[in-house]
Amino acid sequence: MATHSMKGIARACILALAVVGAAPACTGRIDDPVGTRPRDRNGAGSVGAAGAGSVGAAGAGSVGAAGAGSVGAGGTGTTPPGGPASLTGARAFGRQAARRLSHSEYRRAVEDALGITLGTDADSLPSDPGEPFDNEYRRQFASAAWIEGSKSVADKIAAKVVADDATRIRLSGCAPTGPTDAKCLTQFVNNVGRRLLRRPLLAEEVTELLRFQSFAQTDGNFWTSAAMALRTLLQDLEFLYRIEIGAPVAGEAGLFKLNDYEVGARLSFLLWGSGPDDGLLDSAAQGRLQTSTQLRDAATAMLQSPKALRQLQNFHAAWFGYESLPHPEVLSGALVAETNALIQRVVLDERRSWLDLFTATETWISSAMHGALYGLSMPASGQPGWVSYGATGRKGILSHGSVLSNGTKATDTSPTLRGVFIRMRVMCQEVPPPPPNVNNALPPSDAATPCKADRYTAHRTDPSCSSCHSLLDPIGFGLENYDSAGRYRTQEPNTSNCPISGRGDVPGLGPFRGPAELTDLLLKGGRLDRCLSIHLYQFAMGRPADSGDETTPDALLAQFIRSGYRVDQLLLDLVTAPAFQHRWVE
Amino acid sequence: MTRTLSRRAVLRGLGGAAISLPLLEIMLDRRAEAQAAGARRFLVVFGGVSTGPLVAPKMTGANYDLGVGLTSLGGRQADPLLPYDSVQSEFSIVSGLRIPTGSPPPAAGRQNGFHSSHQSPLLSGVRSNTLNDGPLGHANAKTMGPSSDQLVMPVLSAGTKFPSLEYRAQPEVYREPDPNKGIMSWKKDAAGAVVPNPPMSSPKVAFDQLFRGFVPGDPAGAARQQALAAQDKSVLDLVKNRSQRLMSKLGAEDKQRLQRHFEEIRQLEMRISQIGSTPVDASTPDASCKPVADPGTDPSVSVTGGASRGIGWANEEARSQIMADMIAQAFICDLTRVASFMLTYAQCFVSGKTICGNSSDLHEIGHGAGTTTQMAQIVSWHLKFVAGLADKLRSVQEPDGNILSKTAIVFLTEGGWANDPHSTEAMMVAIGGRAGGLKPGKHIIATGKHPASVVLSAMKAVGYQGVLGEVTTDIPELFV
Repeated sequence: MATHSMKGIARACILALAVVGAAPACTGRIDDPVGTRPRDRNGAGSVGAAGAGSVGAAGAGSVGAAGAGSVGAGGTGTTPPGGPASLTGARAFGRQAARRLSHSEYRRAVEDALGITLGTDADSLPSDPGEPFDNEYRRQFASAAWIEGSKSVADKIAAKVVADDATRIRLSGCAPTGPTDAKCLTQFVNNVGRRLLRRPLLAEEVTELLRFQSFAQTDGNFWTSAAMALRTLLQDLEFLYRIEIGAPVAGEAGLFKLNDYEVGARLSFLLWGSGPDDGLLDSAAQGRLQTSTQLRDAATAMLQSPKALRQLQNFHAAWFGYESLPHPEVLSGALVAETNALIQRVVLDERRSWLDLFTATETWISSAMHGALYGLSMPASGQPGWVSYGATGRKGILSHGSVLSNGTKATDTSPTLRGVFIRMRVMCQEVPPPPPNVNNALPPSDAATPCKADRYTAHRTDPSCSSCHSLLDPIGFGLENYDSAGRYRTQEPNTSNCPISGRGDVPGLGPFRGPAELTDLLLKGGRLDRCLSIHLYQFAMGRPADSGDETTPDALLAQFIRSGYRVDQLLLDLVTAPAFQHRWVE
Repeated sequence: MTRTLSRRAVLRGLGGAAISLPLLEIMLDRRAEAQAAGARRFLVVFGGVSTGPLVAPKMTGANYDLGVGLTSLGGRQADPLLPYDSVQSEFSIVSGLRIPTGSPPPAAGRQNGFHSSHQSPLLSGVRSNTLNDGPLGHANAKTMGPSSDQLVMPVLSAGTKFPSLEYRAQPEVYREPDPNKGIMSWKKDAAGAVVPNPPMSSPKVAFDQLFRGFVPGDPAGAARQQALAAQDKSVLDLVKNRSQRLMSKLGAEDKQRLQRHFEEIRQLEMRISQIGSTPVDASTPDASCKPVADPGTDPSVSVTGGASRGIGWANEEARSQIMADMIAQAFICDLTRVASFMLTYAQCFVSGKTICGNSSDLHEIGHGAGTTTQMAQIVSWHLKFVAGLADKLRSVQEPDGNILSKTAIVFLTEGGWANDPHSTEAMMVAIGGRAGGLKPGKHIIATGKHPASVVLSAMKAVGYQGVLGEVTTDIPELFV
């Protein structure tokens, strides 16, 4: 390896500080917030002490399917901190507010309710940035852009629905006898309105919508009034927002018991990321969403739906940052399909410990090109299927090209950025920003510092750099044998004399080489399960936990451990908690 | 019906983009009032880039050198591919500016940490907050005071159809989502809290909103439009009434949360109600006031790279041009007199391929993935939309002068240069137009002055008499 120059040192320090982003002087401390309350911004609550002892869910844990590399009950040895956290109180979820449908929820709610594909029709709606999820309601602000956008999209959707004979007949359930066929319009309005507003329409509401018949009469076209009714419903506050009112609970100030339809909507947006279907609405109508058992039964059935799988896959993709990938379309598709297949297998098909996502010893290979990326062959059948990692040194989701695509820069992987990704997204820790006004131009390789390790020397030798970078870079260097698509390599790209050692270290946890050994360290350190609880809490509540919450992600973590790290069970625990049927306002 | 407005020739730069539609009466009336009153216009533009070391002119005073970064101001005389004449004489460059930095931030300063603590002092003149809670520990981009456009709005916009326009050409952030990085207009709500005023990012929706009131001249087209407007009005009436009923059932927090939505519905419904029914005689209207061509479906968004290195392209070239044209027409038709225009997000992850031939994103190009020349090209790319817009305003004559002569335009960038783009040292601002006695066409080195001082100069030029947050002084040299 070439020796470094002082110039290279200076530049390298600059580089790595910059990739984290410029800000106050790095304290050299990766923040594990202390206390039982999560921090306001990211919900990063207290960190379970590494190896603090197993909680040991009774009889739970992975079923240990062949090739799964499962982790047994309590395998991470995490004790949820903060005392006896629970989900038992009716106020456990903290304050709730009207949440606007996110861009993706809007899209799915419309497509599911109307049975159409929106394509680019919804693109006029402003996007909802995710950090990592796009449903953070405290970041939603009504604006002329949103209102004009929702009008524009509603107009397009209505035009699309009434232009297609099969769709409009399906939604109305009738063929109009003339422009002012009130019966048929009533059917259309009732059918569509119930799905979009997530409750049956009142008689007077139907009457109001039927007034659009005057326009149909003028036009001589029944579908003019249907389109206008649909445009109204799509711009209605009760469609655009998840409105919850409920009924006051006697003697409990600020506490409201949700009605069955409101509970149904909570279920569907949590488990499906979309509005309730006719079956769920029927359950609400029949009063079958009231008891804990009823809710568990309903949710169990909902988890069988492809919509639940889609929701879980979207949750993981947003969390682990592979919603879009920097590769050619075919490769990106193969990598996402691989990770989606693992999620499906572990979480829903085989109902195993969620930790098996990280310990799986098999992966889904969809093509020869995809297999070659990992040095694997297609299944003997020649069809896409599960293939053992064998001796490739890979294990679980952290070996996937989808996840390894994180933390890369334009030309190659960035050990610092990968370190940041692992710290923040996988370990749920906060990384302090670097000092202000640093020169963070990427130091090019030159004769003096042709190798990446040399250009990062300053991170180790300059105290002002090393205080933080020593906590980040070693993680990234332990993954350097894997390029930005997860392909194994032994040499730095475009060099002939820069071998990659692949040696890494998670300070405080130990040395490792490659994603499999990193996974072992993270499991041993008890980071992964807690990070799931933090992210699931944020995803479910539409905001990170904050100091006003009566409970914390720790309560989910305790439940998660008790369930044997089963995400499906955790979701059932969530929806059967008393707070799921209540709204609390201070 | 005969209008009293003077008819002008179709002006340079409009012919290709405009379609020949007569105007709604109310717009012509507004236009006439604007001419009579000598109405001033205010436009603030932002590009999420740092200037780099090559942009500020070397020469001071008039006839300053343009260099790569300011080429766009030179129009077709500097680059034959640019579709407008030089506006160099209409713009002054103020360089040597700085936003002070500290922890806690000083007055009108920013908190240590770059993206995007500059936003508050730059846009509102108020020091940033002290949080570093953005993605990856970045600074908080929330702006702590009302922005310049919202402060000048009460001075300029009484009676206009749109009190202000807020546009953004880059539709999505593409990476490290922080919505505040995409918002440059901030205002105070009824409770006095500073709240975002998010921009329109869809050219199509912006077009529909802006030109909804233009009625086709042919009777059939006009009748069709009127029928659709009647439907729109009926639908929105019901949406509004339903909203009102629902709001009465909500708790205080939800009610407050949805109030803004309701207000926007009400305003939309009001704008639609204003659509008249009588097409104007095609022979009379002012030829310069007309809709731009319907942009049709928005250019698609393409993002690659995942959460940590997303790079996006949504044809920001076309989006910027369409929106610049719409702002120009909104000023010409006096639909509004105030606009904010964010070309790119702060910390911009737009692909540089079309812009400067470098496929990395604009942020990375500033950090070693590109050259300082490319950084300058990127600044010039942003500036060309401002320059082209200015040229359009200059080409429209009113009795008391062309519209640019009554307009103040400010172009701001995110950062300056201190051997690194993560800096608010050596910042540069371009200010154009001749409103209020502005004397453009020179390069002024205002060492150590605040970039918001240039913004305040533009605000004063259009009649504003207050301060911009904690920035109280303007740049007097701009008026002499």
